Amino acid sequence: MNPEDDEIDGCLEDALKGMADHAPAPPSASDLDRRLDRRAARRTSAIVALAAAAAAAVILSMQLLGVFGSGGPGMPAGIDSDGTGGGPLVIARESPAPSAAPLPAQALPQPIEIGSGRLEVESILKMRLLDRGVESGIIERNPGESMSLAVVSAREIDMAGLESEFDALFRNYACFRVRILGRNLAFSMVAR
Amino acid sequence: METQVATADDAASAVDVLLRLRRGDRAALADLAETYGRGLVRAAYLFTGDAHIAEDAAQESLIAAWDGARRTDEGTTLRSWLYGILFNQCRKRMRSLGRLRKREEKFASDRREASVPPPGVDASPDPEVGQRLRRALDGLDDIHRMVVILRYERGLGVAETARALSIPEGTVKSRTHAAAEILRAAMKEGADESRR
Repeated sequence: MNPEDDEIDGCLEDALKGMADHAPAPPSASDLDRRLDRRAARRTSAIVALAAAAAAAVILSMQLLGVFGSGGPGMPAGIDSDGTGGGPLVIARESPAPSAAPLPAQALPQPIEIGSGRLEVESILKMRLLDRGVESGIIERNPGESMSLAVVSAREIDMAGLESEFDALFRNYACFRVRILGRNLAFSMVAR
Repeated sequence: METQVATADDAASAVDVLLRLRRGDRAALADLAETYGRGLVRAAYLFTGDAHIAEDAAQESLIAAWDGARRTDEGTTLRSWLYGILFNQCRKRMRSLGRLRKREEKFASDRREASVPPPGVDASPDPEVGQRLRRALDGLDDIHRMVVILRYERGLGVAETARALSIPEGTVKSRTHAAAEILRAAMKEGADESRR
């Protein structure tokens, strides 16, 4: 009984204690150790499984990029076999990936001429991107004249350098705008 | 062993255990189990009326204390904090059992009433009193049951009980009084029934 409270009824207290005497044995330190160890093992397994799933997803997506990269016999990567180029332009380096060292700065390219066809524009972009060390990527044609580009590379890609190159490439175009969003580069162009 | 009235030594020991828990010292968890395990499982058993749930809730409370120790601060009182965790664990388990289990327990309880005293009720000297008390305790709402267990069985003071349940001290007093009245009446009825 707690001395601060005289109203505690000893009879009721004894009755409750009597009931509590039937409680099971308290958990031992070894029970708790086992429980913590089991939990740690479960967490480790879950992390390993998650990492394996993530690795599998990356491998699968890389393979998918590779599949889309072979548009058809004699066609540039990503261009549909009917030549319309309606699908996304996929860039994929076929040779082994170069070392992870950043590439040296390159001279700015010649601007793309007004009147160049869409496929030609994409082909030029593809060559420039591969030269910059981009191993794979997808150019999506968005509604209107804008395009967006997602790049994948083991090496560090100089996105600011890419932006400068795109600026130079589209010098003949008005309202040209490039935005870097993480490893994605969105751009739009309207002919003068 | 957890004492009914906390002494200065107990308080110092509790602070030490809590500090060691915060540092991730496994030996502190063993000390926690040694000092508070019995009290936790007794309180859980009175609260739930189920030995398995009580055992599991007590064990899980100690693990939760191990996990949560880093989030405590100097103002944390170990014993109140532990009982707060315990009752949350008990309520979680009781909710998850659902209505089916309640119906099963009720059925089993009805059958036991007709034959032998239910587990958890002291059959001697007066089984009728024990059964009525158990039923009355089960009939209390959670807050009344928690208050009366902490105050009467565990011997916590008003302030410590209030901290454990995060309620005002005035509420602890009023709920203790109300719950004790109900339980006393149940015991009296049981005793009258036995005399007849």
